Amino acid sequence: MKRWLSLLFYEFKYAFLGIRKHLLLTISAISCMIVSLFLIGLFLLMGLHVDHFATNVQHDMSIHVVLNQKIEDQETIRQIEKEIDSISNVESITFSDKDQELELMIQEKGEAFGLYRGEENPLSHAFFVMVKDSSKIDQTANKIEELEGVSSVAYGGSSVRDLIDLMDIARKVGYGLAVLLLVLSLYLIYNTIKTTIYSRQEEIAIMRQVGASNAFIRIPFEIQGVLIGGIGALVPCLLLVFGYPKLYEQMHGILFSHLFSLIEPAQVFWTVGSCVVVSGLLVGILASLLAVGKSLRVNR
Amino acid sequence: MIEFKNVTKSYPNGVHALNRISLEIEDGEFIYIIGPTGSGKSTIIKILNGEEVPDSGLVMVDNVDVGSLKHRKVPQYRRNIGCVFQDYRLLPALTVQENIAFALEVLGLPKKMIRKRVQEVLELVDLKEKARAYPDELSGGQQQRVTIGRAIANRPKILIADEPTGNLDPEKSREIIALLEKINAMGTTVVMVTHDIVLVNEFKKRTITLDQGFVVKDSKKGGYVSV
Repeated sequence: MKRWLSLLFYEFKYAFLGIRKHLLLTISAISCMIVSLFLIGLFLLMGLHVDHFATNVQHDMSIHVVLNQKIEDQETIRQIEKEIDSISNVESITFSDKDQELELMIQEKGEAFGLYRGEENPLSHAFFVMVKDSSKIDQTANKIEELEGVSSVAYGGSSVRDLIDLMDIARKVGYGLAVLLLVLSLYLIYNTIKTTIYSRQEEIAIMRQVGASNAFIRIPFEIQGVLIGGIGALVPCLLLVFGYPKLYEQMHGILFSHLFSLIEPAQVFWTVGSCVVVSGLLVGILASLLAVGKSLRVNR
Repeated sequence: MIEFKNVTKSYPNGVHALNRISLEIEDGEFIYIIGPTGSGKSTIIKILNGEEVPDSGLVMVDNVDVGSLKHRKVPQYRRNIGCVFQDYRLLPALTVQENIAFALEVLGLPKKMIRKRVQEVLELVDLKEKARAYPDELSGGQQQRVTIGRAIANRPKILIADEPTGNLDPEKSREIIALLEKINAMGTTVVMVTHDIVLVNEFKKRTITLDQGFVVKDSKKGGYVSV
């Protein structure tokens, strides 16, 4: 135990000596890490938001089912409601009578329609149908339209589906870029550590000469890698954690419309923050492992 | 005890460095290995040090089969072997005492024990007042004394020296030999490769003469005799 502790102490001592000796190289590696991890964080944030928007849009998609004007009695309306409800993709169904329909129309088209209020209301009763799987919304709408007593159905149509498809592409591109940057930063740290090791090849040989085990030689470089990755992750993490709530506040939590509501800052903190820190540390360890492993074998 | 049995070693470029060499070196001996350039002196040191592996034959050092050591076991083996080189091989970023302490730190010895041992070694190699100097602030002879100090810090049973006086003037060379004799007197086996005939004749020890990879002479009496 005691020996283990003193060894660890010496490992840290030599890790810091190594950093001090190659300060510029270390700083440049850290700055590279900061930039790439910050970009990774941004892409992640983008991907998460596209995801979030897509769910919002899908959630808001409903079919507006207008009944025949003649249908007035509750019995028939309930019958039709039951029939719609039995379609497998239907999540929920809400009734909206002709007065409510008029109010919606007035809200949408203006007070001029107000004169239809009362006995003159020419509109029909209707349903709002929510679906489980929005990608099958067109099939569900067709099925409803075929029912007796249904006059017309309306939903966002192909434009909404195009939007969802577009968002899907944007999300994939965002995540793809994040992964690409992760690989890039791995390569950057790998090269930095390899350069430090290259300039210390002789030192490593001397260390082996005086009886340093491979682990003893390896650990200081790994500590260096973890430090580079850790510091490289901390800065973008802080930027995102303090920057995003500011942005959220500025935009009052939405982008353009309520459909594009932003994700709560607390949630972003955990997902993006932990992703950035974990990938920073992993990249640091992995890169130094790869770099030292090779160099140790050069000399016997 | 060091034992070479029918050891052969050739390099990829076709040089036959050692040809069926057999040697025995007892504990506590001080021996010179001499011979012209390319005679295989350095190869013997490299094999003893675990740097090179013999093509055939057996090399036993204190009951360890050096030829069959795995890569990761080599450093552990070297903890029992002190090694001194012509080009010193000190860590330039560390001071004299740190360089000596380094050989003990890799073993995970406690700080207090290391500090005590470093003082002892500094006294032995007579570098107490240079303890805080860096290698590039020292003369060649002083640097070689640091290397010797580092090599013996761990109290190895065997000290091997590859041309330790190669870069030094005669007076400094004598100092180094005197130091090695002092270490030998404390019970450490010393194997020294050299081509400095003046030294070999002045400090007479068992002398093994190599030529083109063969042992041509093994004289207990010592001194250089032309063959």
